[in-house]
Parts: sequence; C-alpha cells; structure tokens
Amino acid sequence: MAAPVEHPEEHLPERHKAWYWSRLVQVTSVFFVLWTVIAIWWHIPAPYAWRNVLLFGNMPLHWYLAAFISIWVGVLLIFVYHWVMEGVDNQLRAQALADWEELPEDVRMSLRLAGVTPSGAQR
Amino acid sequence: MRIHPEVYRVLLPAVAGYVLLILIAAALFGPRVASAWMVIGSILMYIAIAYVARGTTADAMYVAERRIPPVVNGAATAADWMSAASFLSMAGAIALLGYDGLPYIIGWTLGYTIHAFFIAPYVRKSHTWTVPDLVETRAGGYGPARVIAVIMLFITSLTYLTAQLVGAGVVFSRFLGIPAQIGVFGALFGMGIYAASGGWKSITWTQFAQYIVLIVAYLGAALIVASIVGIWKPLPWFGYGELIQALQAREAQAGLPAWTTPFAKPLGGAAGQLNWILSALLLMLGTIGLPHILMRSYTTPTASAARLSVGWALVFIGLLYCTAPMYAAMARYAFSGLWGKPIAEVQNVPWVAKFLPTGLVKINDANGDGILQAAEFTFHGDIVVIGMPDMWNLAWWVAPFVAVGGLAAALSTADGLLMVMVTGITRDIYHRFINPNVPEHVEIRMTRVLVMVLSVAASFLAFLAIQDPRFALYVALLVGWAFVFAAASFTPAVVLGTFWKRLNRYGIVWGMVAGMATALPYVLAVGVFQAPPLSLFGQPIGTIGWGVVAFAVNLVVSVVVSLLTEPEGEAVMRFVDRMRLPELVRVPAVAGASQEADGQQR
Repeated sequence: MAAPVEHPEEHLPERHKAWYWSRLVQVTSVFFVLWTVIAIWWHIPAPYAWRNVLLFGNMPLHWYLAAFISIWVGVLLIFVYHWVMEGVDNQLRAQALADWEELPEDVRMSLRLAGVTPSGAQR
Repeated sequence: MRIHPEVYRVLLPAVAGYVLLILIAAALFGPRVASAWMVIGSILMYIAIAYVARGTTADAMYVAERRIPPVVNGAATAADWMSAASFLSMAGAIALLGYDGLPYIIGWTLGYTIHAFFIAPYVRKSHTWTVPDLVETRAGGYGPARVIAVIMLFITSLTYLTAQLVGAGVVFSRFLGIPAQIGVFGALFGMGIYAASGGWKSITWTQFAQYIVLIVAYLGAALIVASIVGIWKPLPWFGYGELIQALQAREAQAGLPAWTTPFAKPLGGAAGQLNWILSALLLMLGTIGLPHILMRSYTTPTASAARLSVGWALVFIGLLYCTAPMYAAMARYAFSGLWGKPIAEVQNVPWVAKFLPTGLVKINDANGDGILQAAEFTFHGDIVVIGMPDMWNLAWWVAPFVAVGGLAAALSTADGLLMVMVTGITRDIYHRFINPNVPEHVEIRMTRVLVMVLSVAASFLAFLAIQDPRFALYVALLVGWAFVFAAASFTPAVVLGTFWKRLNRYGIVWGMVAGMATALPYVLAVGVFQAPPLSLFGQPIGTIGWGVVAFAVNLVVSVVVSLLTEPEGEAVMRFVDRMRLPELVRVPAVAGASQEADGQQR
C-alpha cells in the first residue's frame, strides 16, 4: 500500500504547475508595475510640480500627502493581490480535483486522509 | 473571524491586571509611584504573557507552532519592525530633515508591499525553519551557503539589537531616574526572561500586546495634542496644513529656509533627487531582507495567511508612520513659539527647563543680545516624541505612557533580533554542523541559555555605546547600514531563489559576497572616513542609496555565476516547486494542523 506524501502539490501534473506559475507571474508582474508607480514614479514630480499645490487646509501636496497616499495605496495593493491570488490558488485546487485520476495513488490517499475528495468537499 | 483562545487566556487578564494596578497606585500613592509602575509593570505584564503562552517544543520555540492567525501575526510583525528608532527617533528625523527625511516614511513601509508579492508566501511554503536554512536548502544542501547566511544575519542583527537596548536604557533613565548604563541591564532583565521562556510563541503573543501598547501610546499623545493645536479638520492627518503654513511664515520671518524645502539636507552623506529616491528604494529592499522580518512568515498556518499577514502588518505600521510627520510639525511649531523671546524667559518655560539638563534641547546666545534667535535654539530628534506631552502640558500620565510605548517598541524588536541570532547558533550551526542528533529537549534548553547569554552580550555593547559617544555613533550608523547589508545579501537570494530555478549554490554564495563587497567599502569610506560620495548621472549618492547598486551587483553576479556553473539537481527543483505552489489542503488558522506535517522535517 502506498504511503502518504508530505506535500501533495509537488506531485501535480506538470501542466497544472506550469499553468499556475504563469498565472502567478502575470498577476505579480502587473502588481509589481503598480507598486513602482507608488514607490518611485509618483514621487518624481512631487518636489517640483506639486510643491505649490495646497490641499486639505493648505497642506502642500509634495510634503506629506504624497507619502500618505503611496502608503495606503500600498496597503490596498496587498489586499487586492491577496484576493486575486486566492482566486488563482482555488482554480489550481479545482483543476487538481477535476483531474483526480491523474494524481499518483499516494497523493490521492494523502488528500483523502486530509478530507479532500474528488467531489471537492473538504471535511 | 474566530478569536484565538490565547486572547482570552493570556492577553485580557494581563492587560486588565496592569491597568487596574496603575489605577490603584495612582489613587493610593500618587503620580510618581504610578508612573514608575507603568514602566516596570509593563515589563512584568510582558513576562506574564510570555510565561502563559510559552511552548515546550522545537515547533513552539522556532516557528510558534506555525499557527498564528494573520491579524495577530501582522501586529507582531509591526511590533517586531517598529523599533526604538521608529518610535522615538523617526519623527525627530523628519523634524530635523524635513522633506529629506521622507524616504524613511515611504522606505520603511512600501517594502512590505513587495514582501507580500515576492517573499512572504514562498518563505512560509518552503517549510524550512530559519532564513539560513532556507538559503542552504535552496542551494542544494550546500553548507557554506548556510554559514555565510548566518554571518550576514549576525552582522545585520547584533548592531540593531544593541541600538534597541540603548533606546530602552534611555527610556529607563529618563522615567525612573536611574543611569542609562544601568537601564540597559534593566531592559535585559525583561527581554531575556520572556524570550527564554518560550521562544517565538511567547515572543509573538508578547509582541501582539506590545503593538497595542505602542500604538495607543503614540497615537494617544499625538491626537490629544492635535486637539489642543486645533487640527482636527476633519482628521488631524489632513488638518495640519495651516500649522505648516504658520510655521513656514515664522521660519521666513526668522530668515530660515522653509522646513518642507526639498533636497536641502543630506541623507546618508548626499543630497539630491536621485539620492532621495535610491535611499527610499534601498530601505524598501532592505526591509524585506532583514532576517527578523523574514522569520515572521514562518509562524503563520499557510502561505496565503503569510501573504495576508503582511497586509495587516502594513496597516499597523502605516498608522504610526503616517502620524510621525504630524509629530514633527507640532514639535517644530512649539519650538518656533520660543523664537524672539528673552532667553531668561525661555529657560523658565517648564518643558525647556526640564529638558535643558538632558541635552535634548540647547540654547546658545551666540550674539549675546539676550534674545533667542531661531538659530540659537537646537534640539535632539528624540525630544519630538518624548517631549511632546511636556511641550503641550498634558496630564501627568501621558508622558510615562509614551515612555511605556517607546519601551514596548524597543523590547519587541529586541526580542525578534535576539531569537533569530540564537536560532542562528542553535539550529543553523549546532544542530546542522556539530550535533545533528541533539535531542529536542537539549536543544530547547540550549536555546534558553543562549538567549540569556546573548542578552548579556548585547547589553554590554549597549553599555559601551552609552559610555562612549564615538562607539554610539558607529552603532547608529551601522543600524542604518543594516538595511544596506540586508538588501545586498538576503533580498536577491530569496527573490531569485523562488523566481528563477536556474539559480544555483555558487550563484547564491558569490552573489551575497559580491553584494557585501560592493556595499561595505563604500559605507566605510563615505560614512566613516568622510570620503566624498560618488555620483550617478551627475548626482551624488549617499551610503544608503548606494545599497541599490550593491543589490544590483548581487543580482548580476548571481545570474552570471549560475549560468557559468552546473544547475542544481532534481531535489532543488522539487523544493522550488513546493515553494511556488499553494497548499492543496487548506489548514485552519487556529488548530495546530500544520504541526504534524512540519514536525516530520525536524
């Protein structure tokens, strides 16, 4: 009888691994570009063009608001990225279950022991 | 969200007991005794939390049983991250540097965004135990990679720890009236005992409590002063524009350049826009390579939880960092109110009289006219936060509460640093190279003893730093450079290790060596020996900004050396796959379901 495996995801079919990684790289690349906007490009015009822009009761835009905006957009990016990646992770899990018969016997047994079944339900 | 049982079992009784005793002390013995209890009692509260939450297994000691919920882990990461420098000194740096200090604000926050993209989930998913363990496993079990990683870890962590203890010693001395040299050993007492009691599990729950204490203290004082100054329009974070305009009008009248003028002051030995941007970028890259921050990804149940916990960490950090410039503006406004007054009158202003003997403010009547000119009043950055309650004449309990917050910030960071160094010795050197069959209980006992030994060693270094101003200067410089070293060593290795399978052991080792060889001589030459900074695109680059160059050198050398040498074998490819792929089995955040699987690797 086959022994359970420690990390079942390592034994997924190669096409599933390749699909997941290419989706991850796509998503991460988009978010990385957005990050460069708030971390770098956003601050280049700040000391010059925005110096005389006064907001919220005469706060100079270049001074602190630029940093404030970039920090909280940075927070937002993490939560949105997490939400998008959760979707991608779940798609991979669904694909694995859809191709249940392709998984090696020891992997299927490990998943069953953890309560994961071909119907997709996890105890 | 399900509330973790430790919150009921540990945190609530400890906090309730602490507050109750403050009230009793204030009612029975008055403000002086109550203030002392606030400081000492906070340490006892942390010890109580650490003791109740203690663990007795290697799982608990090294990775907090890998079951800390994301919000708690985020708060613990924030406390781990926000040191005495963040709490006590950053607002002061903004007050002194103005616009040129802002790289600290964005650099020490936006790194977390790329941490969530490129680092946290993969570190957790690696199922390794420590950062050097991760580096060695990725290098195909190549021992020298682990040894170099441990050396880098000590370079970045020991100086940082020394600075935390200096900060804690200063808080002790100012609020308990004991010499700072003795204060550092007081900090050792608290830190060593609770770190020794249960490793990362104790530290995590203690850091969670410390975060709550430090953020309430920091925001509390700022928001009370904001109401006095009248900047709740509608929230103080957006309402202090008029304060800045009034301050700049006073500065113009005194013949000073406006405080918010860009590129007026040097950062890391150079001024200019390119240096400003590179410095901010380096602080981001360094943040995600610091071992005590990387370590926090191991303590969550899943890779997904590790990613989410980074988001919470940045929320918690952002609250403090967005308040620091407000502190700076309110302090400078208070200082500017003294200009033009007779010096004899200024010296009798209560908060000035209190802080003149400490050297945090200085008055020098250079022209001898008996009137305080703007340039005749100078201040140390630390007064901005520590002195805020006195500057605005707040209630007696606010100042000691701010001190308790500063102490929490220093101790929480010190714990994390202490544990990664101890783990570096026990797990990465002793267990790996000297005695791989060491029984778990012996390893745990060894860890506890080493926590105390390293606490004493770091306290002694802090003692030296307080005794000798030159030594203190080098410690302060090294703390800034810790980010340079982290970005030049760990960050490229961890990111490339996940995203590029072709990276091999030689690429990792030579990349780290080349990165450090690029960073170290420059920071020594410009930072210590005062050599003129080099220029890029016609703009001078300071020691901090130079770290980006060292980071790039590490990347290039890692790639070139890897391409010129043999790729890693099947085991490493499977390890990288494991890091990249999410768990097929979802692990609950509270129950210790991950223990079994992870325990098999011990």
